[in-house]
Amino acid sequence: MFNSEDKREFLIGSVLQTFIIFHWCLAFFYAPVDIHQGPVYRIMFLHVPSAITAFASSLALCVFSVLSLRNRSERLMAWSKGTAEVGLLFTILTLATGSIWGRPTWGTWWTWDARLTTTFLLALLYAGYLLLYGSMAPGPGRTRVCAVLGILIFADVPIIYKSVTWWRTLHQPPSMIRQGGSTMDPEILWTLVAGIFVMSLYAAWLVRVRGRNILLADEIESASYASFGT
Amino acid sequence: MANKGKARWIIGGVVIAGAILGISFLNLGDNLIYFYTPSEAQAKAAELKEQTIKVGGMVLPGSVKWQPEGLSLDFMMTDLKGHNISVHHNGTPPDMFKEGQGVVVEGRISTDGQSLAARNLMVKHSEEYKKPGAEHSSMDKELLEKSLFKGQQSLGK
Repeated sequence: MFNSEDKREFLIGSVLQTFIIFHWCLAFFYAPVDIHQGPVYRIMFLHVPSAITAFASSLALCVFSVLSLRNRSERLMAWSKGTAEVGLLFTILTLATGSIWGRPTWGTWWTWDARLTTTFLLALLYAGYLLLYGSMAPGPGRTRVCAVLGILIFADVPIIYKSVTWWRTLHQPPSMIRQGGSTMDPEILWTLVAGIFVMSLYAAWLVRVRGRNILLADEIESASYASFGT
Repeated sequence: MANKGKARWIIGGVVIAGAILGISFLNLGDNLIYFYTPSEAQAKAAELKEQTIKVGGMVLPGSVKWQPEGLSLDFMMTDLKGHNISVHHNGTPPDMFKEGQGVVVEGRISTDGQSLAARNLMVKHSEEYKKPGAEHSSMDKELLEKSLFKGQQSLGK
């Protein structure tokens, strides 16, 4: 049956799910319709928090990677892997929601502009990290190689963020943080900020659960090898 | 030994920072120009006419001719500074297509740079999100103009 740890995680998960439902209510009923795009713009409340969560995962992966290089800790590697998985999940969610949003507003599912291309690159980098991690045996060698890649992935994030400012793109420039203030009406802005908050919390919890599960799986694996040795 | 380790970290950091700075300063030439502005496309029309290119601009108010029976769309794309290209597209325009809207058109330009046969028509909207009933401002148009024609002076000449 459930132990006390499982119960705690179940409780945290339920609270976070409630937050998500609350945010969806804000997105559908509190935030007004947009005069330019109509109701379709509401997918932004999923798209932008996903993107920011994917960026935050990259920062977390960078921090875990630096720490694991310094401490040579397998524990930190498990956290790194969990973070990369969550990062990949939210990058794919960003690409998917963006694509669904792009079809009715831009008239296309996909185009190779700088913003879309660099975000696609982030998904590839996360996937590459996980492939590399999975292909190597645990130990200092894997720590060194994966940590270096983990740090380098973060270099893509400022490029994604600034891509719409540096280059001509189909994607619109930032609406929230920009010179001259936000270009969103306050109800829309605060619904978006709430979404970013909720999704980041949810992602942090996902990383926590995944990190623990990976550690557990490693433990079981090494225990099984130990029994072979006798 | 400790010094050697530290030096490696510093060198590594400098290389990464250098790479990021390098990418930001390098415009990587024409490869990173997602679309041309009307004036750039017209200036280079003779060399671009052999290729499929993208040109971005605004839909000139009053210029849209849409025939639903034949799925035929004609309009003028403008940079608001007197460079206009007449666009012909066979197909239904995206929902957000309207007069004064931003568009990125993929197609082939005529030798004289005056007309563009579209293969693909995309809408570029601004980053403004507004509730209904608010005063109509020119912000949407200004934002769009800034985003569409960025870097034109340095690249156009």
